[in-house]
Amino acid sequence: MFYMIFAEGVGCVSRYLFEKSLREIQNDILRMGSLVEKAVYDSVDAFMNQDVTAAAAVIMGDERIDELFLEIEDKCIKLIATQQPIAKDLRVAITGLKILTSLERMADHAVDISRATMCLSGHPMSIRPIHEIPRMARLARQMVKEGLDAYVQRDVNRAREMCSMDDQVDFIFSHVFRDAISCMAENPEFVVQGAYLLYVSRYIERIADHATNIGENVIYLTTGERRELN
Amino acid sequence: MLDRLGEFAGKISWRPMAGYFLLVFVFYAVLSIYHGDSFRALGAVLITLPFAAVFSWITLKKVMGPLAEISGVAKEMARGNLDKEIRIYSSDEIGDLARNINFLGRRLKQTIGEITEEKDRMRAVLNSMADGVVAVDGDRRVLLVNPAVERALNISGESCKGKDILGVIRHYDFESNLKAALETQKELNREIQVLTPDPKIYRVHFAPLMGTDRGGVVAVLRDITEKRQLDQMRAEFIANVSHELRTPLTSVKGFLETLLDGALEEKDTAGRFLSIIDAETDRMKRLIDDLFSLSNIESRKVVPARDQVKIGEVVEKVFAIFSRASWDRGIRLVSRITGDFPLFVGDEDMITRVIINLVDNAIKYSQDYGEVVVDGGLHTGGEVYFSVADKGVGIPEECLPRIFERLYRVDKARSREYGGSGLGLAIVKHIVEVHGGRIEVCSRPGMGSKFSVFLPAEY
Repeated sequence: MFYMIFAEGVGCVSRYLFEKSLREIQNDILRMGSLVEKAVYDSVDAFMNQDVTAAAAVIMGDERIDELFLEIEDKCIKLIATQQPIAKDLRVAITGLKILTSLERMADHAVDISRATMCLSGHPMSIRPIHEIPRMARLARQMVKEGLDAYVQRDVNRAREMCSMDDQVDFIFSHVFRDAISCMAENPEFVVQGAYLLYVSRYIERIADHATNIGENVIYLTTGERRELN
Repeated sequence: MLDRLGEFAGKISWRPMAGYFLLVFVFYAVLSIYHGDSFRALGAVLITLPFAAVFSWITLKKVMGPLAEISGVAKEMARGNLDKEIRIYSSDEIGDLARNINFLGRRLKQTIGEITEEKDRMRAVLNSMADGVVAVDGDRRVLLVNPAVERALNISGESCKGKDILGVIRHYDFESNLKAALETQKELNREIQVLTPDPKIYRVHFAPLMGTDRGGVVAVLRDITEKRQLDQMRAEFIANVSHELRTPLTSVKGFLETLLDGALEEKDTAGRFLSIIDAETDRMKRLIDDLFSLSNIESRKVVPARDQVKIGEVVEKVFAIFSRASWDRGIRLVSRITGDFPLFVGDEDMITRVIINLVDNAIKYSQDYGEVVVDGGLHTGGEVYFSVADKGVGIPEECLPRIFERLYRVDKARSREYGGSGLGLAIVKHIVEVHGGRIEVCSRPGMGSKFSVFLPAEY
């Protein structure tokens, strides 16, 4: 009898600790998410304004994101190893890991965009499809934000809606791609600019894809269903 | 002694008396049984029983009924319905209890009313604050956000109550400063840049919550985006002025050095150089004059005079000034202002300056053989208006909001070539504003521009 009560007590305590560390991990992910959001925002802004200092700041800031990534990943692994969660708890831990990876990739793409800005320094872009970039970046940014919001609120509908924005990003990307190619074909002067433009638009498109992954993970987390949304 | 006893007897109600009476009977019955007198015992019991039954029934009626009502009302009170009162007016203990419970209810109602009023007042204060307020408890859970924050950060206050702050405001700097304030229990003052929904800069003051057991932090957010923009505009302005002054100065210095190096000997070259120097110094003088008058108008050092302005005459005077310049380029100056244009009160020199600047711009940006039309009349609401229209190059739409800024130029190279100071429209706008009026512009690239000034008939 006494043993049973004792065991139950231990169960309660370990459950409490488990939930506490899960909450902590989620907060860490959101903390990192906010940094990634800012990196994506700043990198595109720096690219559009040809602001080399802002681009350098994004590249510097990525170190903190990488640190956080390793830290949170360790926490996740430790949690899985020591608590051996099952069912929904396991899903929470695993999706945490996956969302973390997506965020880290996004930050890397932000760094890639900033590198492109630094390479282009002093050469303002005049190639035609450059005007599509802010719209595309706005959508991608919105997706990152919505993805994290959906994760916080465990909101499946929000995640689905967010993922549907990916189609628009893809559409703009294909448009930019075709337009840039024709610009480059018309005028060899645009080849360098066009190449960078293609890179940057591709990075933004990848950021949107990673946001979609976050959305898929949110759906998996709440419903246990796996959905391919892009 | 007997009086005292009588007083005491008077205080005893009939119920205990009946009880004693019954007890005597019971005692009598027990005694009878003890003596083996079963007949008397039976008699005593027979007499006692109906009395006891009636007595219990009365007690039940008198005590249990009111108690049930009191308990019902107490339950209602617990549910929050404090309007219910117990209607028992008896003078015994039950009546006392009922009165006390009624009193308790009234006091509770009063206290709750006071607290609610206090709370409403606090909420009203928080709701009408322009600054955002976010409060969290010691576990970083949101206690309160006011509508200013809800609007600024696009969150809903009700749904975020009790959630972790990161789930509500996902901002690294905000959260880390909040955490620092929570841990150190010290006030912090930081500038924080927010990207969504609109990019904004906030000055956030984090202060530990005093007087609560569970700790916590309150953050007050003040939007300083506009102030930062103004700071930036000021910095840009200084940079622009320095640039505008340096350009002619460099060329003056260059020509002077060449002259000193020996070009002074060659009469023709020296003359040409000197006239360039003259033009450049004129340009600098114009810029400084403009800056000076702008700063005078802006700082309201000059109070506009209250002249009776005849706009038709002013326009004719201005046209006379520009007749040479417009003649050279074949530009027609047309005034559609009729004689019945109402007189209005204003500073004639300043109004002349407005028309000079607008006509000057219109001529500058017109194509050769173009037309500049000045029109005017009475506008609705007792306003007078006049407009200056050209059919020149026009202004791109994205530049329209900025053309009244000091030293803003749509096309830097072109306007410098025309010799403008970059302050003309800024001066116009300020003059119109000190007269209590407003200026509007509509323009389309390649089609021309039209500047309309609306002034109150008497400012």
